Amino acid sequence: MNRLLLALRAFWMCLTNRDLAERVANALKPDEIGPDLRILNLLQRDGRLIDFLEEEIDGYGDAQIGAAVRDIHRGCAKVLREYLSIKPIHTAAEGASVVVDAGFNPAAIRLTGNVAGSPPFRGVLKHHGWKVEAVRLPDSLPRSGAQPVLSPAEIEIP
Amino acid sequence: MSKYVIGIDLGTTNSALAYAEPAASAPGGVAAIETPAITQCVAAGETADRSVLPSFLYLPADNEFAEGAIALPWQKKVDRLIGEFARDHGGKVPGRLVSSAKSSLALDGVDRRSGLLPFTAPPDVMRLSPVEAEAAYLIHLRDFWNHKIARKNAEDRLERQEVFLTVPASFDAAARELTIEAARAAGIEIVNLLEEPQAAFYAWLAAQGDDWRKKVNVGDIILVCDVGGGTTDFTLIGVSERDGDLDLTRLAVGEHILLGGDNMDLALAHAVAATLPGGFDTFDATRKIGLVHACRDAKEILFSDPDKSSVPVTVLGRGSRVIGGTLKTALDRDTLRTVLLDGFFPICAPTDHPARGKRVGLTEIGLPYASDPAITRHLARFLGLQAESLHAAAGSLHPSAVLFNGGVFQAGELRERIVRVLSDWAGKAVSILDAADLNLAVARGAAYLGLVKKGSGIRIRGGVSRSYYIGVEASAPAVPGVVPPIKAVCVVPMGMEEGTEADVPGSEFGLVVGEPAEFRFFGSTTRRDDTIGAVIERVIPDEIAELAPLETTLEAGSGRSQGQTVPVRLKTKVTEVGSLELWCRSTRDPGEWKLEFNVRDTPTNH
Repeated sequence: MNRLLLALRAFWMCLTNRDLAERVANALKPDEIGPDLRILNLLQRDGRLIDFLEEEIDGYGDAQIGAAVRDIHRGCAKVLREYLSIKPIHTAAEGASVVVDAGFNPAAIRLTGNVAGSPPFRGVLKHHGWKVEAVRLPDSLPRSGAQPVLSPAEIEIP
Repeated sequence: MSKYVIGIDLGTTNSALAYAEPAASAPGGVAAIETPAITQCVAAGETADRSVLPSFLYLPADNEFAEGAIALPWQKKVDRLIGEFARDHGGKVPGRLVSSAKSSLALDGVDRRSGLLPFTAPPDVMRLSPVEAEAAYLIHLRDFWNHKIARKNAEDRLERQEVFLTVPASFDAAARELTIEAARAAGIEIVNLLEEPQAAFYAWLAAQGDDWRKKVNVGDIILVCDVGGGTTDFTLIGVSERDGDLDLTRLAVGEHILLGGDNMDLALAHAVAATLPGGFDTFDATRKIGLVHACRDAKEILFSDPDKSSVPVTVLGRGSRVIGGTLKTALDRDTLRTVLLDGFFPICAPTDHPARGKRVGLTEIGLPYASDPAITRHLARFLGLQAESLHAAAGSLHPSAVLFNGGVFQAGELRERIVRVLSDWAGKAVSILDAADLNLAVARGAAYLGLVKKGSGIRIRGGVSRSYYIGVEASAPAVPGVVPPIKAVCVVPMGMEEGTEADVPGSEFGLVVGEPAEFRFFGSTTRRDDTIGAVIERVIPDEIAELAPLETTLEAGSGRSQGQTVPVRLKTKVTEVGSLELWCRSTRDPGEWKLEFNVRDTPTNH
């Protein structure tokens, strides 16, 4: 990378292109600490996921939990669909025989059982896996911070 | 000349935008009409594109939101939040939420240019006038357009395009004038008004192409039944023959009925809440909104799946105890039928009339909500009045087909109910004209009219939707305590065409120079036989409604002395835009003065 050329180009583009200038300004901000928690923010906002996981549910009957979970499921599923594109990694049906060729991505495919010898491996697809194909999280939500807000406290003034 | 024609549906609860590029049409074909999704703030910290822009405006308190949380791509500092987040958040902070601004635009007896909204605003909240609120929605749409579609092309900016703005058919001359004022405030130069039910009909024409001629016959009367989120609007369109081709004429429009889909969802929520301990009124605002949403979803499921007999309705716990606080009930088909079909669309006789009288509780917000929720009874009254007005044979009027508009009619059962009622009244089957997208039809139809105006295509004729009158005190001996009777002089006959003007024969008035002169002003949607200059000796309130008065002040100018009386005659103009102008013309010299709608004062005769 020729950094001098890049710097000059960035200089010129910042002068002439407002959108790009904003992106450069963002890039120049000091790194925020911690992970990007926007998805948690949305899962709580539309699906009440944090409330659900943080609640002590042992005391409730199945019917009571079931009634709420239907709504929580709907809300969280909507968030996943709207802000992420989640697709199976392996397109074959679960239970089908599949072949794993040499040079497979070990992060995307995990071998279990009688793993011996060298690829290609023959096996049965037990779980098709998940991957995120696209992320569409809103830019203006806070990503992180020292104590990220997942959901603001609500105070009703009578 | 503008490159695009833009149709804007400035709705009571939702606004939408459609556009087309006339030059892009193939020879002999019609250009495609696009309906871009509108960028808006949908939650704190999130903007997204939605097919419609909810017509809600929220006035945030200082420091209410984190910096940038409600910013728009084209505007960093937002002091008026508009759209989905305004609606959802404002539901919890009602004192800062402006809603149904369009209906207050048609509100007589208040100053529609002064800060009125929100009606329930606390003293420290700035209030907006209905005109300012409507302008704010247009400004949002304008800025969105300029950001997304015009971009850097100054020629393509919305202000430079020909805009077709829809208004309820029931809007009177003053409300139309105020709508134009809002458009001007948003910088829109070329604006045309179009009635919403007509726009819905144009959308149907656009979808049919040339096939529409096969679907209607000469002599047909088509009812456009438009039930929006907050208003109900009826229009009759007649099919006739002219020069061997089919011709469409708007025959009649109904009165402004403040009743719509939102009332239905609220009624369902009340019915469902009745099964819960405490009932609807014990809920806080957030839970009420949650319940209304849940009921609307349940209603849509029941209507779309006839096999289901009941759909669970849950409202999640309000605090962080989401499971423990959850309320669970269900909406069953019987409740849905009782509340919606029997409550809002009951089977009734053609002679039934809506119940009158104020409904306590619904009127607190300031708008004159309909006191009878039965849309079918309002329809009966409308058809009954128009049958008389149109001199229908046997004194009754039966539409041969009906075109539905508004999201409410996504439910097949509700469409069927209206058709059944109309068929019962007519004694023969009434057909349905299939409409495509009920939520965007009005905007699409408005854009289609833009294409029609630039090229070939059928135009619905109709002219002015009501006749207008000036009130003149009848000369009678003054009796203390008795209000002298009022005569009405017709100054605009119903059906007067756009782009025409006429002198009002007969009546001559004396105006005093330098003093404001005020005229009482009346309108009627049924008196179609009155010609210009006709005098109605007795004003019957059922037929002729009093509107905001008209006023003018003659400037003394040269050649006239202060206090002098100038004899004038009236002249009326219907502009191309679709607004109404009344002028006083001196009979002695060439002087002319425009009469303005006095929407500032409370009329004394109410």
